Amino acid sequence: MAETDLREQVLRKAEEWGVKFVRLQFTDIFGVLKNVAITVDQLPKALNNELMFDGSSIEGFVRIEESDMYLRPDPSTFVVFPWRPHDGSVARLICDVYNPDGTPFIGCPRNTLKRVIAEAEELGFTMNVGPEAEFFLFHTDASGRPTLETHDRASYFDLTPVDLGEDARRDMVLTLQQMGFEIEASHHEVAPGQHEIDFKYADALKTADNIATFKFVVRTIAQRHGLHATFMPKPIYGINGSGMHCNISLFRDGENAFYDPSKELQLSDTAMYFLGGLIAHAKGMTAITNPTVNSYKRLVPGYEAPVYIAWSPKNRSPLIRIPAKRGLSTRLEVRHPDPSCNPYLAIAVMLKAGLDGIKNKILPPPPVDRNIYAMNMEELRELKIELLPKTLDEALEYLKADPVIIEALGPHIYERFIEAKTIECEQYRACVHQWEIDQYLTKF
Amino acid sequence: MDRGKIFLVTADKNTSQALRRMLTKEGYQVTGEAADAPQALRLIRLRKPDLVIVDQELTGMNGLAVAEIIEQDRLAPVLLLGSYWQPGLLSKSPAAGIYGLLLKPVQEATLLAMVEGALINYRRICQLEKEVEKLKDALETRKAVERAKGILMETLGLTEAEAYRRIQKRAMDRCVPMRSIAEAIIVAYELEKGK
Repeated sequence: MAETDLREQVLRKAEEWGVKFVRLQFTDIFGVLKNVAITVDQLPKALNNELMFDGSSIEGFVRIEESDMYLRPDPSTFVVFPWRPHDGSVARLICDVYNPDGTPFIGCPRNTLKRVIAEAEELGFTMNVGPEAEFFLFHTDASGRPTLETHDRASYFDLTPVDLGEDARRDMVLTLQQMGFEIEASHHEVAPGQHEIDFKYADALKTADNIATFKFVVRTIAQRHGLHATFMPKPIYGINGSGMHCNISLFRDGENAFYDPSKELQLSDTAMYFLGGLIAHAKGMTAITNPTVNSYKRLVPGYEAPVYIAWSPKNRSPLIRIPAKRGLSTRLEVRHPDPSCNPYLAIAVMLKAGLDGIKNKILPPPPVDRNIYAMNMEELRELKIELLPKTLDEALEYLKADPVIIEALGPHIYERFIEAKTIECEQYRACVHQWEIDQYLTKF
Repeated sequence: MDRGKIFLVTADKNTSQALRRMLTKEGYQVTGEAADAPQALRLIRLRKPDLVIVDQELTGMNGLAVAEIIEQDRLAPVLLLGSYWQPGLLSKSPAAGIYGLLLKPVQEATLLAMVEGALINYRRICQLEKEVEKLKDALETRKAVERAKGILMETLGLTEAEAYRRIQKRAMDRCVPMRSIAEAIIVAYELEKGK
């Protein structure tokens, strides 16, 4: 549909639904959803890309002297929030950030993803991504601050068969469905208080938008149930953390470009090269797919999270798994991203890594169908199986050494990201943690 | 005598004690109490009370915000508990759907009358809402069937009665509502017309 038609449609829908306020949403470099609320009277102006905001107030965006930025709403992202049915609904539009001179702002993560998508399109590919985001539901205390107490245990003491978390999750699924999500699965996860909701795959940009929306909806609904939803990768030591596996496929002319029935494993050359690219850049992209200090506490052996850079069509434990489905469903499941990542940047770097594999015909190492966790160092060395970065510091060093990933991010985001994350690591290093107190206070 | 389950949300110990005493004496069951908003939201969803009394002054989230969530999710009718009233207090957040304001210190007769009123009115509103939903659905069905009838008359040259019968029979054969058949006919027609 033409751009102007879409705009007309947004205005019509806004009137139909009695929308009073519209939130113009975009994410900062760290994936935090920001929004500028406008009244519905300003909507035509916003749709004409005439709305300005002060970019210098957003972390990692711009310096004070280049603070005037424009928001360009994407009319296809117009959705009315279902949880305010009375008295003036609220709707949202996801926006791209533009410079005053009308060029896309290089620091906008959504623009960054669009740039890599365009690169794929030049080769004739569109990328589809299906995410599996996990999260924890915790209780909030009297002032609304989250605690580490899960509903499961509390409702256990409550002597009632109803699980608060199940109830909240059902509400989340209903809300997401009302907002146009196709929910594929929703279930309790391995750890107490942990949940997963999977929604249908879509093209890369739509999926990134969906992930941003998803996190926001899950948090909002949790709060309405007196719970706190967290996408922190590893909130509790000793139990499974929260990941965000990404099922990736490439399509060309309506066909799955990863599928080739004549090849070994029925995987096309394109699939093998894409896989080769992902493996070659695995270390370089980890700082983006797993961007917090806490992310690396999830990437440890024993909790179903990947540690070794390997792939397998059988085994469920390595970094990249090839699910058994073929034909249109042929896909790679990348297992290290966690939901604390910026979805736009994480998808951008994965796509970029895969495209680099295709362009340079990078072949992946042979698959590893044995249990890697049972191997000793020598066997690992012999099979040339490397480890994912163990800390955020290490991941940042690998990122600095990977020009392909840096190119995907663009200089602006790359520099701001390194700067902010280096400070984060420094602060963490300098802080005295509870573990140290427990270990050393009485000992020395 | 069980006249209804009531949930109290207030950090004010004296008031909650007084309310509990007055309500239980009258045959109501106080099904739970919470002193803060998150705890209240968790417990109300579990206990499913018939009525909630919420103090305006809470930590974390104010009483009106809690009432708004309870009302939007259709959990129960809400009476607001406050220490003052000023013009516009309730009408400025109509989304909270407050059934009445109880001023502290709460008088027994005021409380009981208001609780009774809220329970009755809530029931009535739920009933009306159900009816509205039913009517809306009937209207939509009617619209779709009319349209589908028109399409069948135009494309198959049927009379109105024949077209109606055709839709009805197909719906019965497939055990689906007539609206689904009608909508399928409309979609198929639009596809053919290339809309």
